[in-house]
Amino acid sequence: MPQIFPRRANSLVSMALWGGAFGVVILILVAVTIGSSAHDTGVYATPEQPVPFSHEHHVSGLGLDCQYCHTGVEKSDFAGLPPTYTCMTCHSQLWTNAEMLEPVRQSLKRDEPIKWVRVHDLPDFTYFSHRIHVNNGVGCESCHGRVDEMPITTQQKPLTMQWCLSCHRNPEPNLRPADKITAMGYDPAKDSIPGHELLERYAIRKDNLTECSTCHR
Amino acid sequence: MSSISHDELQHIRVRLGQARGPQYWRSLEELAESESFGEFLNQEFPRLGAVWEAPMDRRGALKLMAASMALAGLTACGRQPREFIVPYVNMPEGEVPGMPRYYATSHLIGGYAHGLLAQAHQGRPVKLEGNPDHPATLGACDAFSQASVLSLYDPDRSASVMNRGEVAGYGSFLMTQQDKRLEWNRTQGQGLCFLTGSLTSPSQHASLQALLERWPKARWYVHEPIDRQAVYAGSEQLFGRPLEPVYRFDRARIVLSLDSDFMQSQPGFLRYAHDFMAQRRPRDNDGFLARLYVVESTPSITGSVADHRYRLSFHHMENFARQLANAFELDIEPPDEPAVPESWLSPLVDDLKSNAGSAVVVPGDQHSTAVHAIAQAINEKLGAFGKTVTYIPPVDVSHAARPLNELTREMQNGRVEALVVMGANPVYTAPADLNFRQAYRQVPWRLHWGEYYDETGQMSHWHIPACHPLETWADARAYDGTVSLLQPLIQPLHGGKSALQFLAALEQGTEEDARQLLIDYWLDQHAAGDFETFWRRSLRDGIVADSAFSTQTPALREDWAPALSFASGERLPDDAITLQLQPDPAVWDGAYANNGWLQELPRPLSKLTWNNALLISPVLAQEYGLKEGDVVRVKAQTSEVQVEVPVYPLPGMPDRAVTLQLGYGREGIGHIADGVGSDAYVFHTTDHPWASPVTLEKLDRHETLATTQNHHAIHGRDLIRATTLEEYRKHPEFAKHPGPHESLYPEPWPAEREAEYAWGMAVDLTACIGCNACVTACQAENNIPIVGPEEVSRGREMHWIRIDRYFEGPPESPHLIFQPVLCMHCENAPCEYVCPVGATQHSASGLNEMIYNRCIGTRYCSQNCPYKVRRFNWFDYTGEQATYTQPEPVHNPEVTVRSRGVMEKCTFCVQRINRARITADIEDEPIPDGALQTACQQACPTQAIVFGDISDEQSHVKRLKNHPLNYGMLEHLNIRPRVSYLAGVGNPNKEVEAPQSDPLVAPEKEKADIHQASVNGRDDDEQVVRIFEPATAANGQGGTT
Repeated sequence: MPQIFPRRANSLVSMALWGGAFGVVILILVAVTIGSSAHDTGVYATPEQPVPFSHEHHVSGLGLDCQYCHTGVEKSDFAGLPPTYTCMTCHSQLWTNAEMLEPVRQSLKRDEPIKWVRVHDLPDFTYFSHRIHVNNGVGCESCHGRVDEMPITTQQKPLTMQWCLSCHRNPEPNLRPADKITAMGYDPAKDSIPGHELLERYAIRKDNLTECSTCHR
Repeated sequence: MSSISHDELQHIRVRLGQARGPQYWRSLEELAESESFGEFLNQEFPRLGAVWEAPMDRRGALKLMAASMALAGLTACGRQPREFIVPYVNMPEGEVPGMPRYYATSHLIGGYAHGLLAQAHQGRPVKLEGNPDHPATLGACDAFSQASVLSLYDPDRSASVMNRGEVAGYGSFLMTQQDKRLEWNRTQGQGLCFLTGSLTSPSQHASLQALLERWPKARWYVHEPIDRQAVYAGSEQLFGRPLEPVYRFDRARIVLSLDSDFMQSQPGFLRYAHDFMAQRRPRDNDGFLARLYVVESTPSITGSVADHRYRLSFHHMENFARQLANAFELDIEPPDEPAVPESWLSPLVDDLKSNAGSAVVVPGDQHSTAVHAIAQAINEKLGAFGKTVTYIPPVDVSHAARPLNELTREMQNGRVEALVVMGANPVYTAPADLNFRQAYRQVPWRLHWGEYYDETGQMSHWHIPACHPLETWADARAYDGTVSLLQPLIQPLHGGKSALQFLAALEQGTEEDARQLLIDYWLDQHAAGDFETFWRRSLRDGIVADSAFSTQTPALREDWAPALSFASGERLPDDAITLQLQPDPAVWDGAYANNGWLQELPRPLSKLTWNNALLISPVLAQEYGLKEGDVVRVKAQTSEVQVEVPVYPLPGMPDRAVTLQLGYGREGIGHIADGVGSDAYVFHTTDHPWASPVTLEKLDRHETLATTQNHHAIHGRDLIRATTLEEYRKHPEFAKHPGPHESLYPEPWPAEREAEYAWGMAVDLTACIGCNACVTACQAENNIPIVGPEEVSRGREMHWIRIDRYFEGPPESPHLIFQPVLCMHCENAPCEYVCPVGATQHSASGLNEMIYNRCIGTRYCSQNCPYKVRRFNWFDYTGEQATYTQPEPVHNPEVTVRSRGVMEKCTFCVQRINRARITADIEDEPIPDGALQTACQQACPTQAIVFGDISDEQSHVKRLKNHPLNYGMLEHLNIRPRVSYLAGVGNPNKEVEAPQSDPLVAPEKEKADIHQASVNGRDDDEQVVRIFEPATAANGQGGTT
C-alpha cells in the first residue's frame, strides 16, 4: 500500500499543533491587552464638552471646594452637576461677555439645561454611591485623579472592576481623615494616621466590600 | 393544557375517598394525575419545543452558535456609548439628584380614594406605595393603585383635544364653549345634561352644583358601571334615608358575608382585609380567632379565607337572606324553598346570636335592595350598630343624581340638546338593553372628558383629555369619608385637564389654573384660621385632618319589612344556568384594560392572564363535555345576545352557574387592551344587571388560555400546612415535620458568617389572602417586564413572586389556601453550586445574589432550583423591539433592566437593603427593625410578609421564626431556606357540617392525623430522614370546611 501522506506531513502536523496552541495564547494575550488598554477602559479620554470648563482654574486657581458645585456628594449616590444658576452666581458678574460662556447664558435664557458629556462612565449594571465613599474616608482624588491639574476634565483611572476591587479588597492604604476628603495632592500613605486606625474610626466592615450585590443588583 | 375527562373525575373521587389527611392540589389536572399534567410538570419550561418550528440539524445548530458567538464577541469590543449628564437650570429647593422624594397623593377605585405615597426620581413618578397615615390603606397598596403608575406613561392615553374625530386645540374648544355658555344662559340650560361616574370629591361636587344652579334646567345623571345603588337603596328602605355602612372588622368575632368580596372589591377593602386578618392572629393566647362564614356565588378571595364557605347561585342569595331573616325572627315572607340546609344554617345563626355585639353580616354590593335591608336589619338585631357596623352619610354624592335609564329615555325622546360625559364610558359600560350607543348618536352636541379616547370619546363631538391622577390637583373621599388630596408629581404629559379645570371651562369658557381652583374651594371651607398651615399640612399628610364623616345611629323604620319587594319570586326554568357578571380583579370595570401589569397579573382564583374565560363548575363542564379552553356559545334567555367564549372549570363554582368578568373585549382603546377577552357588558341589563339566565352550547373550537396555575408546580410534597385552632392549641408544633439531620458538620442557624445582618423572611399563611398586591409591587419595584399571553402560556411569565393557590377537599366545593412563593435565599442554595460562571453567589448577610452581567444563560440554576422561582429572559422583553415594551420612565433607576438571555429572580429588594445599609453606615446607627421593608411586604394589606434580621433575637421576623407554626418549604433537602412559612390556622365551627348537596362529593372521609398524611405524601429521601429521627407525635387536621 502506497504512502498516503508525504514525509513533510509530519512536520506540518506538529507545526499546526504548536502553532494552534501558540495562537490561542497570543489570542488571549491580545484580548487581555486590548481589554485593559486605554482604548477600552477610556483612561485619559478627554471628551469635548459644550463649555470647556477648567477644573484647574476653578479649583487650584480660585480655590473653590468640590462641594460648591457637586452638592450631592455627601448625601446622595450621585455627586451632582451644578445647575446653570450655580454657574451664573459668579458669571453674571464675571466674564459676562466671554464667548466660551455663551452656552451657559443661552441655557439660562432659554431655560434649557447644558448637556455635559459624562467622563466617568460606569456600566449601567454597576451602582456606585458617592455618599458611602466620601463619608468613609475615600477622597475625590482616589477615583478622579488630580482634578486641580485638569484644564479639561479627563478620566485618570481605568474604572475597571479589577481597579475597583483592588481598593475594596484592601481599603486601608486609600483612606483619609474626614477633613482631607476633598484635598488634592494628599498622599494617604504619608499620613500620620495609619490606615487600619481609620478603618476602625469609620467603622468600615470589610465583610461585604467584595460581595457582588454591593455594586451589582 | 387540557382539562379532565369523566373517567378522571371518577379517579379523583376514588383517590380523595381513600386519602387520609388533607390533600392539597392546584388544578383538576393535577388531581386527576392526567397525562398532560405529567408532561407539563416534567419540563422545566413547558412548551419549549413548540417554538422550534423549523427542523434543526446539528450542523446548522453549530453554525448558528459559532456565528452568534462571533457576533457577540465583536460587539463586546469598544467603549459603551457616550452618555450625558443633564443638570437642572434651576434646581428645585430641597432636591437632591439621585435620591427619591415622596409625595402623598391618592388613587381612586370606583370613585373612592386610596391614599398613596408616590416615589419620584427627579420629578418622575416611579413607584406608588400606601400612605401609612391614610385610613383606607394604612401603608398597604392594592394592585390597581400600584399599576396606575404604568398607565401614566401609557402611550395610548388620549393625547389631544378631538373634534369630530380630528385633532383640535383646546383654544378652539374654549371658543365653542363660550358660545354654548351664552346659549345655556339664555335657555337656563334647557336640554343640557351632565353624566358623571360616582363622585366623592367635595370640590367637584361644589363646582357641579354651581353649574346646576347657574343653569337650573340642566340635569345631572350618574352612571357607574360597578354601581352601589343597592347599598343606599337598602339603607333608605330600612332607615328612610340613604346611609353608607362602614364595617369595623377590628371589633368583629363572627362575620357572615352574603356574597360580599369585602377584601377585594368593596370600598375600603384594604382596610377591611387588614382589620379582619388582624382578628385572625390571636392564636397563641386564649384569644378568640375571628370566624368567617361566606355564602357566595363565585369563588372570591374573601371566600377562600372563610372557615365555612357555602356556594350558592347568585339568584338564590336573596332566598338565603330571607331564610336567615326568618331565623332571626324578622317579619319577612319565607322563601319557597330554603336556600341553605338547616344543618348549615342553624349553627351559623347560633354562632351569630351568641356573639351578638361582635358579629356582623356583610351584604355584597351587587345584590338587591332587599338583601341589603335584611342584612342590616339582622345587624341591628345583633346589636352591631355602633359596634361592628357604623353608619355615615353616603360618601358617593352621585346617589342623588338621576339614573342612566332616565337619561336614555330623554335622549331617545330628543329632549337632550347637549350631553357632557365626565369620566364615564357609557357607550361601553351602559346596560345593553338601554341601547345607549343609538341614543347617544341622537344627541346634537356631545362632549366627553376622559383619560382615553374610548368608545364614548370616539362618538363625541368634542373629546377633552383628562389628567392622570398623578398629574392632577383634586380631592376625593375615602370609604369612611376622609378627604384625601391628589397632587401632581409631573406636568400633564399629554396636556390633560383636571376635573375642576374642565368644570371651570364649562362655566366660564376659560382655562384656569388647576391648583388655584382646588385651593379656592378649600379657602372657602377654611375661611377662619391659618389657611397656609392647614393646606401645607394636608398636602404633606395626603388627607384633610378630621374630615371623616361622623357616625350616625339610625333607627329602623316601622314598616320597612312589608315594603320589600323580592326579585327571587321570579322563577327560572329548571335547565337555566345563571350567568353572573363581576368586576374583574385585574381590570376592574375595564378602566385598567390597557395596563399590561394588570393584564398579566394571574387572577387570584383562576390564575388566568390576558383573558376573561367563562368560569364554570367542574360538574357543569362534565355535563357539557367541556375542557379548559373549549369555546362555548353563551346565549341569554331574555334577549338575543350571544357570546362565544372559552371556558375555564373552576372548582368551587355553584353547580349550575357560570361567571364572566367585565372589562374585556375592547376595540380601539390601545395596544394592550384591544382584542383581549370578550365583552361581558352585553349581558348587563337594567333588569338583570349582575346575573341572568343563559344557555350554553358547545362549539367545536378550542383556545389556549394563558393560565399560570400549573406553572412552576412542585408535585407530591407537603408544601402547604394548615390546621384548625383547636388542633393547633392541642398540638402547636404540628407543622414541624422532622428536618434533615444527616449533615456531618454542625450547621448553626443562621449560618455563622461574618456579617452585621442576616436577612430572612416569614410568610404567614393564615394572613395571606392572595390579593396580588405583592406581585404588582414587585413588578413595579424591580422592573419586571410584561411578556404577553403567548409567552405566559409557555410558562415564561417573569413575576419574581407568585401566589400558588391550592385547593383542598372535593373538586366541587374545595377549601382554598394561598401561598406566596419567592426566592427562598437558601443558605445551601442548590442553584449556586451548578452555575458554571459563578453568576449566582451568596452574600455574608444571606442573600442569594444574581449577577446579571456574569450570567450566560445556561439555566442550570433554574433546573436545580427546587422551588422553581428563577425566571429566564427568553427574549428581549424590555427593549424597543419587544411586543409589550414598557415605557422607559417607569423603570426604577435603582435596579438593572435585564436583557435577553439572562436569568433573574427575587433579590430581597437588594437595592432597598443597600440604601438602608448606606444610610445606617453614614449615620452610625444600626438599621432599626421594621424600617427596611421589601416591596412585597410594604404592599401587603394583611402584613402576611415580614422581612428583617434573623440574627436579632428581638426582631419581628425572628419572633415569627421561633413560632411553633414556623416551617420551611422542602426543608428536608437541607437547603436551609431563609424564607419560611407560618402554617395556616383557621377557626371552623365544629357544629357546621360540610354541605352535602354536591353530586360528586366523595363520601365523608375519615380524617387521620397529618403525620400519616405526610408519610403518604413524601418520597424516599424523607423516609430516610425519619430513620434518624422518628417523628414526634404531631397531630392536626387540615382543611376547615
